[in-house]
Amino acid sequence: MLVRFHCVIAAPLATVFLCGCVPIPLSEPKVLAGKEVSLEQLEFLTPGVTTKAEVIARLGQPSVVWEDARVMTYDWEMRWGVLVWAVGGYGVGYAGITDIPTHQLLLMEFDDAWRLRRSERVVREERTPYSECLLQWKAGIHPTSASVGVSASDGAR
Amino acid sequence: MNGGVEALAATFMATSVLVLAGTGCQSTAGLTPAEREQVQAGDRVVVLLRIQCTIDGQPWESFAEHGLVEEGIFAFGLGSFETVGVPVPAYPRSLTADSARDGWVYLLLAPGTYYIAVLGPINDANYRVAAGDLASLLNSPRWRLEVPEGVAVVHPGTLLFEGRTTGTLMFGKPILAPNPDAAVVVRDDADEAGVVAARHFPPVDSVPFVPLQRWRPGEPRVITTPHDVTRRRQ
Repeated sequence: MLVRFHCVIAAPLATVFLCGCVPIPLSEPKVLAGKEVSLEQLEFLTPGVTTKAEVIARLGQPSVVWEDARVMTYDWEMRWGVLVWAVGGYGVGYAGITDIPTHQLLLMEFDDAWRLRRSERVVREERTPYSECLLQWKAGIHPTSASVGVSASDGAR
Repeated sequence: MNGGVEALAATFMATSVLVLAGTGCQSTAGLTPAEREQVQAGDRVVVLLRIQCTIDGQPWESFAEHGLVEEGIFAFGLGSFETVGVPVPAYPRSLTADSARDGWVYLLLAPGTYYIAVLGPINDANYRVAAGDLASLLNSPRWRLEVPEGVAVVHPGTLLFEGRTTGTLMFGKPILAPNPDAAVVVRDDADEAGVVAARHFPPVDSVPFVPLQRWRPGEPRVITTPHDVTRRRQ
């Protein structure tokens, strides 16, 4: 009975103590989802000149069109690193590697005639919802992450 | 000891049933007084949608009454500004058992642009979504839904689904699956929607038809500023 009691106590404790995870940043970029838009691809952008039609002709269909705000986005996910994890218990264990993504956004604002007003490439924080990120950017608040990746302003303000 | 285990099992079963009942298709008929005020003020619109289904060419009840909620053969997702158009589980309400059998359900939404995904006909559509299988929902047919301002009730169409049986379950119940060769049709049933609205949402007697627009992967998700944000700015 005592042995059984010890097992009941030890098994959950072992599970607690035999699990862990280690995030490992990787320098090699990899697109996990969506289609990346590189800085080189944005060289044609000229505020006040480039139209929405020209952007779509060069970059393809956007991910999101916020119609009444005249904001368009392209989004994709890049691998920041991997999470190596392991969980162990009484006589059993599991381990694995999971990609850690960063949420990349190319944000573009147009004027009433759908000519480019400004554009910016940002990294959205995991805790900031996409819609909140859009509202912040539209209001002129920079919605970038400080934790992973570096946001790149394309200077088209 | 056995009695304790049985009591624990019974508690677990009861909790599970309550959780599933809470996450399934709601059967709240009509609107609450607060919701009615929102509709009158133009803050919310009743979106009166109809789902009809045939299995192997024969009519099939889309929202039949079941002993268990998870047996529903259709599940819904709704994408809004908050989700940037990506559907998350949504639970349309039915009005009465009769109108549900006829395929009528409704959503109460603020004017704006939405995306609606419909999973089914599949035996466990509701259960899958309630259990967190969002991939099924995201791979389901999706439509853009425009909810106009200045109306109390709108009809975005009747969705006509075709399904087929792919086998039978243990007690002879058919295994249902969508017919992969059949396109889902959007039909204008605004006249019938007007009759339903007159009965359940008086004084509304006519309902405009604003058809659902099919959305396919790769197309941009169009969103509009939420109604409350627009109002705050004004």
